[in-house]
Amino acid sequence: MIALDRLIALALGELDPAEESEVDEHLLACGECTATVERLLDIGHAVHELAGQGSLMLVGAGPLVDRLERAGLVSRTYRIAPGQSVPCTVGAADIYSVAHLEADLSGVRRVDFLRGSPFGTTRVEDIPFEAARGTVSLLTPSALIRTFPSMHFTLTLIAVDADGERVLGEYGLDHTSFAG
Amino acid sequence: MEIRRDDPSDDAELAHRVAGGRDPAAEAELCGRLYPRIRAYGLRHLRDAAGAADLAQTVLVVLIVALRAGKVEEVDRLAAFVMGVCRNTLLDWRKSERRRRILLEEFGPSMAEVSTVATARVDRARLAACVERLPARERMVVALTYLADQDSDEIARAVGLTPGNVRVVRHRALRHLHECLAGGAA
Repeated sequence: MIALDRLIALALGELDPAEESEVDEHLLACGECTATVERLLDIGHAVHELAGQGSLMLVGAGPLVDRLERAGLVSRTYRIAPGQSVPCTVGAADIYSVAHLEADLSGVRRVDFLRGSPFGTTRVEDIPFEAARGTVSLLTPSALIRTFPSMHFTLTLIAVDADGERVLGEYGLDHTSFAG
Repeated sequence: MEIRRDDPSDDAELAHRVAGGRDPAAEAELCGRLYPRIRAYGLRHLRDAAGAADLAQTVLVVLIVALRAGKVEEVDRLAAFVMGVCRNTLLDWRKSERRRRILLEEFGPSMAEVSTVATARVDRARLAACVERLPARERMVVALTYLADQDSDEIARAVGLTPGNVRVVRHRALRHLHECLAGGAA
């Protein structure tokens, strides 16, 4: 058996030619490691498939949103300033919905994200963001949104550093349920 | 997915039986064991499922012919011989597409059984649940790696990490997904 990290490096194409040959020879003698590498390679294909089907939920997804928009997979886009609420809904053929939350991210090292609804609040810690964009993007599968009743969502961005936390912005989404 | 827990010494034992005279059962078992490994090699080097399947069949034909003819000098180091055939086959394909087709037409039907071995395909629904469980940053790095085909430098700019950290996060994410899929704890 080869260490999983080495097989991951192989699947990601990170090994130099000599290391790759060494692992290749082992794989040709080891069905178990081969199955692991096949599964690691298939994860990439599967992530592609899931994204195309609208099955990935991501926050802080700016560059990815760009990519999905170019592929025609983003059906609705909302741009929300701090303190603002916007109406939103979902259609039968929608694939992804994107909310761009505007915020001053200069000097910010870590951002946490809160999503509140009548059913409770969830916190996502340390979300990726690109400060220069001045937005954090929330990408939501429309299939999930179609299950929501009409309700109000409160979204909050929080900057976290050694001195504590501060709210970067609060945003509202007034959702009208799917009429299909 | 069934994982084959093969012992390399079993490969050598089967290869010795094939080399010792006509032994169809040993040939079939050896081909069944080696086919998925060679196909996986092909998937990584060709990035094409059909080409990988062709490679596996071609290499097995060459191997069986060589074993029968006593031309495999170190039967106990079968993997090294198989890898050499894999490399030479890929080089040969680049030179002669026609010869490859002739070989496959001649031997392809007898390889039909081993080529039905299932690929290690991950369960999509389970993977979606596993992705959902990843920390936000790991999820993003996975998405940017596979959807946007971005390298470590590009991802680093997008998620506010150094390229070195991106590689660490990407490894951690794949390890988490692998463990989640293997454990079924999605």
